[in-house]
Amino acid sequence: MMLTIENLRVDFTVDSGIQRKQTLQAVRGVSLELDQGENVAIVGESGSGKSQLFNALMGLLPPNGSAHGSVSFNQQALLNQSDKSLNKIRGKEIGMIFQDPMTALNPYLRIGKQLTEVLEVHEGANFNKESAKRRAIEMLDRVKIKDPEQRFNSYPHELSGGMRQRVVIAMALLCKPKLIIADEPTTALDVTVQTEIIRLLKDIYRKERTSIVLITHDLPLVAGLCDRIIVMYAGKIVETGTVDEIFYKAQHPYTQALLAATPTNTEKSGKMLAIDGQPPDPLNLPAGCAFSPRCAFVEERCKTESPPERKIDAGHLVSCFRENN
Amino acid sequence: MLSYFAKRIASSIPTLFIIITIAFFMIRLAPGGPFDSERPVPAEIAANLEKVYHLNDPLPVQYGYYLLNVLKGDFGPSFKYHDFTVSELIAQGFPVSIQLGLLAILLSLMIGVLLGVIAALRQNSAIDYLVMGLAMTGITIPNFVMAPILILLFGVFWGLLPTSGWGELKHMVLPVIVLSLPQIATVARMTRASLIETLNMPYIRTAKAKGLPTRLILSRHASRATLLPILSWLGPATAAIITGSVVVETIFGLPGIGRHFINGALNRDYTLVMGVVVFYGFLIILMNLLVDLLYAWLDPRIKY
Amino acid sequence: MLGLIQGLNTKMSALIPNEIIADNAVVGLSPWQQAWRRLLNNKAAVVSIVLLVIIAVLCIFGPLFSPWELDSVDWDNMGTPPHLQSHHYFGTDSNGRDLFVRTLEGGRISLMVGLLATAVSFIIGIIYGSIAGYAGGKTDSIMMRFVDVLYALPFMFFVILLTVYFGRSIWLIFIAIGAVEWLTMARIVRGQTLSLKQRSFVEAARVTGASHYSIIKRHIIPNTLGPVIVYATLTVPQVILFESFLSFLGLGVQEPMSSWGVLIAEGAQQMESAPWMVLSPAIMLAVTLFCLNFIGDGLRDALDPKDR
Ligand SMILES: Nc1ncnc2c1ncn2[C@@H]1O[C@H](COP(=O)(O)OP(=O)(O)OP(=O)(O)O)[C@@H](O)[C@H]1O
Ligand code: SF4
Ligand SMILES: [Mg+2]
Repeated sequence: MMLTIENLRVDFTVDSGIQRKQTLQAVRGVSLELDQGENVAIVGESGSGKSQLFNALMGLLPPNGSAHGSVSFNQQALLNQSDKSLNKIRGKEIGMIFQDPMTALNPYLRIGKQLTEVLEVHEGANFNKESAKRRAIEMLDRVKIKDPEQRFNSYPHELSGGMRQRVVIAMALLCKPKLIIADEPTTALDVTVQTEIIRLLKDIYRKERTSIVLITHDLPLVAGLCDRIIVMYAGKIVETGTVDEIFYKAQHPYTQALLAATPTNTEKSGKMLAIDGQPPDPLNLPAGCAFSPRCAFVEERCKTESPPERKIDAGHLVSCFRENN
Repeated sequence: MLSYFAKRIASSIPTLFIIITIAFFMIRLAPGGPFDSERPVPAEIAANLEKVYHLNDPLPVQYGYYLLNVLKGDFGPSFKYHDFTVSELIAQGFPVSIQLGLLAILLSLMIGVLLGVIAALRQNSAIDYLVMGLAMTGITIPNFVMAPILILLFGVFWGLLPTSGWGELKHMVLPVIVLSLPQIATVARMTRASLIETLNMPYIRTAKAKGLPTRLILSRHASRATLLPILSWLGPATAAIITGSVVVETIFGLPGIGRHFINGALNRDYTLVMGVVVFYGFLIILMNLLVDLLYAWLDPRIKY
Repeated sequence: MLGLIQGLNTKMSALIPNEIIADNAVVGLSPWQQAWRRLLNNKAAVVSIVLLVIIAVLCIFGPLFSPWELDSVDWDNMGTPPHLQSHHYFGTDSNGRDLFVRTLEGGRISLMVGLLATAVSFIIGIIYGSIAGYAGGKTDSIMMRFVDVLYALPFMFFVILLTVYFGRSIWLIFIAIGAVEWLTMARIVRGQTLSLKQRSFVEAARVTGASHYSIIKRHIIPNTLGPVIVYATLTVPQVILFESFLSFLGLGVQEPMSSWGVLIAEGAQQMESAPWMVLSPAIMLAVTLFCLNFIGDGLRDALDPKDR
């Protein structure tokens, strides 16, 4: 296994200044494994803990967050390691792509600098300015940026959103990482640009065999790109399976609701899934199954006991009491 | 770029113009002022004033003459020290005041930024609270309270430093410290807030995700965004330091512009006070101009 | 430029997304009640409020309980340190005047200047800012351009210039300070008004035919109060400081009236022989300024919890 996550929990300390400090459980015991060359999608509503799960393992949690559990990447422990040892992996073995390309790049530094510095820190003594520049320009070309030589000297504000996201992708790819974590890489972009970026990611995957974890709201988007889908709700994995299993044999009422929900077009973020009811308040999660207040199939025990994980098929797991079909 | 410079310079001219105008009409029209005919003035001065201010001409013409003179850097003769022109008095005091001011700004920047960075990197730790507590103290305790305390401690009790006089480095120590303490505090607070805000920026997270060491993240990615707001501190700081120097020069008995200003005010030396006001206004406008130009130069997003 | 600096304070890290605060807020409390609770949880602010009330009460009623008057001379005790039997709780100055009474009476002046001048700036600022923001367009840009120009003027020096002409009067100080401080207030109110104007309840009021005056009065001004109150709280110490500064230089409050600035100036001259003279006004001034600053910071955190 390339990446093994065991019982990962992420807590935030929240201080409203009115009451005593509270603990917000953003991720509540997530375990998952990822093989070299495997592509998975993480889907779930806003606030379900998708981003914080991966921020935790990259050591990127906000200051009021803490992570517990264990994570290993190619036999190396990741969780709560020093920045120094994490920096041997971040950007080199694992690359990250973020949601909002408008803010992910430093507005005060030229694109070229922000690209080549990845090589600068990871190649140490072997670093050569000229070859770094050449490789950065090649990479810009690779992610289909026009006039890469010229763009190398541009500032981020001189580029469009889609172009900036390509730069971010190029940055993540420069060191040929084994794993790329893409956190909603298309949410902030226009619909036409979205498909281009996804096509680019597919292309990268086909050529480099880099594993991709794609975090998204958009189920249809992942269909062509990923092998496996992991559905998260309120900080837990509720169902996981192959694309076919999730699309055609979904077991969990939440997954079914996600699939049934028509994508509604909102002005900026493209497709957003709308399901009846409100996502749970992370500070006051319902006892038992967190989905119970919104679930159409809720039973008595759902409100008191947490549903255990059940195996439907080899790789198809679901956490729900209801046994149908 | 050049046209931006020109535009910015042009936009600061009205302000200067307004300062001069207000000063002129205040001095000309104030009841009980030097030009109020009910007050007897020594014949010698009267003649002098007559000549310098063209008192026999209509008011607008007088104003024109005054404007012209000010533009030439001539503020007329001092009302009290007959042997000096205001410009001479200002020129005498300027080296003292500018040395104090520049040293204070430099010290504030260096220590303030250092303290602010330390506090921000140790946010909510004991050292952060200590620095912020000290900053609160520095901002709260007025310079005219701080100066006597320092004089008492360093001058009187321990006898380490002179409490008045001018000419050597040791004479500058206490005045510069008193001038800079509130500014150090202000810069430390600003730097802390600015660095904390910058470190929360998504692009800092990107830099971390790229595997950059903390040192490089601070020096390359956070420095500019953190320090740019500090730049805009320079404008108000100039005003604050000029104001402070009035007190400090008085307490430590230093021969700067500030002391002339206060003596002028106490002696009702109208022309001197007015000249200094215009001169100070000019300095502050100049500094604000400089800051804006630096800003435009350092921030690639500002279009000229 | 100043705006940028002030902006910094309000821009600080937003660690906690808004929704969480909302979710977490105690059900059934209005925003003002929530702010009040937060303020009460801020120890520094609470201690400051208590101290400030004590100082104010002391300044108002303290002199009544002393046998000495503001300028009565005690020939037996000239320049003596604090002494309880003779009722010179803070000692006397070299003229034999009681410092307890002088310090407290000085406090009255300082506090009064602080409050009155702030009130003046408060009123001018709110009216000017809400009109500019509400009118928008050309009116707004002309009105704010005027503020910008005034901002750049070295007011401190104009005030001193004024004192040269009109003599040194406490009224001049009120007016001068109040006239300067309204600028920032107007900017804040205008900014708030601009964004309020877009909000649905203002639109609704306009559609139902409410007059501009009543919209400004009912809908705009009440909703800008939060930041304005914070700024006003932070203005009071600035004004007190300014008054003391002028008085210290001999350009403010005149003998035989006293203010903390005057007393500090007198004390500073005899610091070596009679350190208690500078001590009592200096401590009172410093404590007052500290308290006001802490209350201001506390209010800001309480009203705008993102900032913490
Ligand atoms: N700094 C923080 N302090 C407190 N709570 C936080 C913090 N950051 C995130 N959270 C909470 O943690 C939970 C999970 O957040 P996360 O960002 O992982 O959601 P997400 O699934 O990525 O949502 P989205 O699709 O909107 O990105 C949310 O309830 C969020 O409010
Ligand atoms: S456990 Fe019960 S409430 Fe939860 S999803 Fe299954 S059926 Fe619904
Ligand atoms: Mg997210």
